[in-house]
Amino acid sequence: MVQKTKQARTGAECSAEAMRQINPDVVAAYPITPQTPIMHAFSQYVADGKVDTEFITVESEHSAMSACVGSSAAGARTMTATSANGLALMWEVVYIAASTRLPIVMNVVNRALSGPINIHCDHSDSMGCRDTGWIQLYSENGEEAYENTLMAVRIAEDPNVLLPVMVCQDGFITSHSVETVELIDDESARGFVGEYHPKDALLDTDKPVTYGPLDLFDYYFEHKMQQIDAMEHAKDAIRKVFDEFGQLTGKKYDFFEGYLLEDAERVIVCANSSAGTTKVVVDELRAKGEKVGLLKPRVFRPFLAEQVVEKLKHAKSVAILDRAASFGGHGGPFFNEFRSAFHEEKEKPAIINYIYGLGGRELDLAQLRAIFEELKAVASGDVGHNVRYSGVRE
Amino acid sequence: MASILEIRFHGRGGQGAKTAAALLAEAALEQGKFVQSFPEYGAERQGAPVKAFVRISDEPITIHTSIKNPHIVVVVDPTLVKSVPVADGLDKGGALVVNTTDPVDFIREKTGYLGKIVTIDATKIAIEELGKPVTNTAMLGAVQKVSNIVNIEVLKDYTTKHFIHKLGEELTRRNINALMRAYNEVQA
Amino acid sequence: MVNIRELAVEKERLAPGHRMCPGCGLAIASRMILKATKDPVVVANATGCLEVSTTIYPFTAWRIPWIHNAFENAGATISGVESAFRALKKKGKISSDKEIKFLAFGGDGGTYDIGLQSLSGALERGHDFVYVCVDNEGYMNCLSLDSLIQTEEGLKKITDLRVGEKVYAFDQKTGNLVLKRCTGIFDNGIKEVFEVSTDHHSIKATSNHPFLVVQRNGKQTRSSLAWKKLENLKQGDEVVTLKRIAKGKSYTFKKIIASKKGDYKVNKINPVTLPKRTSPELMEFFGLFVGDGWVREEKTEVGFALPEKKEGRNRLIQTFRKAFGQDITSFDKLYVYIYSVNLSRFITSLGFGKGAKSKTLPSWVFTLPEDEKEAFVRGLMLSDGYKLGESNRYVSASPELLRTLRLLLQTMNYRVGKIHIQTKKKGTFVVYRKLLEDSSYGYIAFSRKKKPDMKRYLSQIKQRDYLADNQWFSTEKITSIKLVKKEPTLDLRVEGEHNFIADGIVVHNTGIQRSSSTPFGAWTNTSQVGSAHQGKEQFRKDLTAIIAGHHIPYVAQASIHNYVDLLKKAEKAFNVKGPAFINVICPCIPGWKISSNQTVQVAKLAVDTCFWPLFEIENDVWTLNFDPGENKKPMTEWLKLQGRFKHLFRPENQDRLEKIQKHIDERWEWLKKQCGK
Repeated sequence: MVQKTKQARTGAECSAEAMRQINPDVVAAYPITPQTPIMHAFSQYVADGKVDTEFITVESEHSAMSACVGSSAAGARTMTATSANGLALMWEVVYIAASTRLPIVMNVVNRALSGPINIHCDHSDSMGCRDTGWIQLYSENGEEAYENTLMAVRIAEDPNVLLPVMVCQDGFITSHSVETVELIDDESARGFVGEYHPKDALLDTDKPVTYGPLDLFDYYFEHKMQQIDAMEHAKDAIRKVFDEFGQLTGKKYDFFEGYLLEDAERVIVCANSSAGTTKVVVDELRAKGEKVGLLKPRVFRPFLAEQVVEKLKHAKSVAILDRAASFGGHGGPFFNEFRSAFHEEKEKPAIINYIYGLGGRELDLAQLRAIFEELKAVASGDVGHNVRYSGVRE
Repeated sequence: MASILEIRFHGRGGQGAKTAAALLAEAALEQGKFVQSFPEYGAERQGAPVKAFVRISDEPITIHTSIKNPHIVVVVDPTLVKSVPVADGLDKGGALVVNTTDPVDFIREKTGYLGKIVTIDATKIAIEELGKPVTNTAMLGAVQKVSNIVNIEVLKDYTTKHFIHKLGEELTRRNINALMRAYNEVQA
Repeated sequence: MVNIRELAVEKERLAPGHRMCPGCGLAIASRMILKATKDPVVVANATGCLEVSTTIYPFTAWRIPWIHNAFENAGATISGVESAFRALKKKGKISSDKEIKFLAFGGDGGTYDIGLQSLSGALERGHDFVYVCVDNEGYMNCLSLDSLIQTEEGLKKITDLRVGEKVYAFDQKTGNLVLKRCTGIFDNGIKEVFEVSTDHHSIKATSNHPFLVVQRNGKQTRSSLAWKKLENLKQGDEVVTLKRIAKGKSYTFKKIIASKKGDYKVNKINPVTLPKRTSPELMEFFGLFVGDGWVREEKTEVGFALPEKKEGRNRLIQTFRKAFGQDITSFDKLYVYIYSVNLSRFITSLGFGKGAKSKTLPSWVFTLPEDEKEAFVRGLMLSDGYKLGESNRYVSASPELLRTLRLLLQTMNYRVGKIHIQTKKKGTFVVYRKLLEDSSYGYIAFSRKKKPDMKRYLSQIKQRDYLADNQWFSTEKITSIKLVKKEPTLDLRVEGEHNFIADGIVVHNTGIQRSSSTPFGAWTNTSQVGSAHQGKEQFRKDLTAIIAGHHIPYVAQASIHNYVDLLKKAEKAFNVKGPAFINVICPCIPGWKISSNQTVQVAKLAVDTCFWPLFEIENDVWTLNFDPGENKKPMTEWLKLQGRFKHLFRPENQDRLEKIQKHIDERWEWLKKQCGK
């Protein structure tokens, strides 16, 4: 029987809790704000003997992911955590981890990429990695980060998937914020996560394997196709894991979760902590009789375009909020993918983009109210500039 | 929409404003409330002004913004009254709790706040009880009296649990003393 | 204990069939290290020669578990593998008595430079592994495999060259065309390749390949020729190209097995006298054959599609009579047939190809005298050529033929345009014949070069063509430089001039960039020898001493030539608990510019000169393993064997040689003191 306890925990502690319950074989990490509390909490668990993990305190994030690759290829369940420039430094190996089909789970505490240097939250780091072949999960709060981390292990290790997973949560806003969270008991968590049965482990010396050969133009493309196929399989694997974990917690998980969405005419789409704030405004406006709603992405990679269409097609206007810019692009990362999902549809809402919150600039209730207000004009056909900016001084 | 009690703490880095906020939140949680508590970071060093926020509600809290219109503002360091707009956004029907030796009128003049102002010389209490001017536990006691948001016993309990690991029995006991003194002495 | 007899019969952990250069020091080092333990070994390999040449998918030469991650992280990767081993053992997922040795291989690039950080981290954390640096002192690079080289025996594919052959080169002092010996051919692996094109030539090479270009130094200063790397070339740069080859001579044919009457099952034979060598008539015949002929050996048939009344048919009959002493008796309105077993065999053996799409020019055609070549071209023009105004056009369905013909025409002082490809629909008339189906074909246009008045307008002419007065070479402007793709590449070493002619353009033999392990004074492509700087100007990093600063249980320096010492050290390294590091000197054939049979000798001399001392540091105790004592050889003994130090032996560089000797002597004395001597 699963037991849930309400606790007051920061988002980082929630991730650490999940890691404690998972008890990975190896963790290799390098500190960077705001990911550090995760590693501090975890290394306390190591010191107290609450986990059996081999904790490698590497000398850079590049080495962190490199060691993770070595460990995962060796056949060990491997995890790590990082943010912003740490993620950027390990980018080369992040790509290699996915191409080598290693089920590494990484907590990314979203922080703005330098420069100039900024330690606060935006999604430029994980957005920058969206093409690396990693599965990406986004978390509205600490509790979701905890749940996503437990589910990530199962998704990554699914034999038809074998892709690494990054679980994202907002730096400082949720990582350093104590909130009421509901966690499940150790036994249920461990039972859910289960044992790792590695394929083709380096340490299986009776069956030697070569990882990372030279792959030229005669084969490389086919290997990339295998990766692409794995991402497709991930869609099914994720759904299965959502259903199974949902039975443990009693909650419903989906790729894109709607809040008062069914009959909403004006919808905001945003991920992570901003979704929570948006819910407050949705409630406020609904009380006044306005038909507004929220769509919150939990899974960005793989991108389940069909569900986006299914959930949004009835709306009149949609504002896609991006907490990252794509310099020189037409709008932000979410905008481009969500909008593109509708390309073939005959029935589609008017879709506009708001870039917000860069470098930790707060998204407050006033901004959200304004966005919903502007969506009125958009709904009636006055789209104007479809890429807008919220919260920036003009 | 359920009402959320929003409290803002002002302090300087190293004074424990963040801890005070967290303690309050956790004590509220013990009583079955939904809570949120977080600091606002700037340059992370000793002595720099910091803010810490607490939200307490009977319903789950999903909002993730800083607190712009608190119901209660707690000022842990007296010098901040002159340099930081501590009463910004403070609701007239709320309360401003300040650690200071200055009279209420002085505070009212400096902050421009028209509502209830409560002062307590938490520094004196802290020095007497703890030997150091670390005022956060005293301020907690004061806040509790003013807001009555949690049960005092629960608050004492929780504070004890929190500190015993780091500070040991003696120092923890003294912190509780500071807390109770402030609780009893403050004019609510 | 090292028993070479036992080791020799053990199964190799690094299987033969990998792609390292013949004589490569890395192969020797890695094989020996892998023999030093009986326990299973897991290898993490940094990007580099060793990794690239052993695992070209779908093949791998590693019979043991092996992982390649990236260039700078062998240390971090092996840390992960080793930690996983301990973690899984702790959890009981791996049996507690299972022994595995963890080994990381890194080249000097992946260890001294970009990989230093992750190695240092791994050592500091104390993982139980062995790190072997296979030090070949540089980052090693070339021409694409289909380059055609001008050799004494004619135009040859670079892949068909043999060491010792003579190739044509540009004598940089006199501007003459000279023959030089090719002293080495190197497989430089898969590289990114660019295509450099001029109006009449094009060649594919890597970005660091030097070309000979005209340096226009302004109005008052004389122009000169200089070597410029491809990556520094731009459109409009004038490269030196080949005008014509030396006087040719008639080619003597190789004997073929000829049938004669009385042979098994041969009771009738059409006697055809096979010529022994080329002649103008024969070459014209061949020209006609290449254009319009075919061979069907099974039918003993040599045929020509030459309709009657065409000039081509007449010439065919005449030249055949002259060259073979026979009359053609079998023909109809459109075709001519010659039935002869020996003739068909003979023609097949010449290398012209059999059918329309596969025709080409064999290399020996390039060595013929002018008149024979002209005759050949005449024959070609009579078959598939036509005149368009002043220019001649030759049409063919074989792209290879057009490519080689173009090069041939250029050596005959023709101006030749680009190869144009077109597709014509079935039924169209192409040079007197109707196409039976859609066909793709190409053509080139060529015309005689006009001779400018050299005496009157020399300087003006030289503005346009710096080498206008050079009878062998001219210059052409680069029209484009395009990235092609990644291709396998080869490089040549040519004695003396160090250049050769590939695809008609004069190029340098080359490769190789410096690492912090490259010795002082060495030539590399990123530490070139010029008038302002001569080779690498820093002394190399003493990595072994840096590693010693980590105070790990075992550090050693070894050489491939002393296998007993190397094996003993590797054994110790594997057996020690905690990190161990061995730095092994591995001479590199193309990088050090030595011959493939000199690897071991050069490694030994590195030790005998004390450039690469053999020593160990066991728990901070330094021990010298070998002291040559009075037999210590001077550095020059080692330096002079290597082409990369050639420039140091010029008289003006005497002081550099002395500097090197002094530095090595100082380091040697320091080391001896460290070791308590």
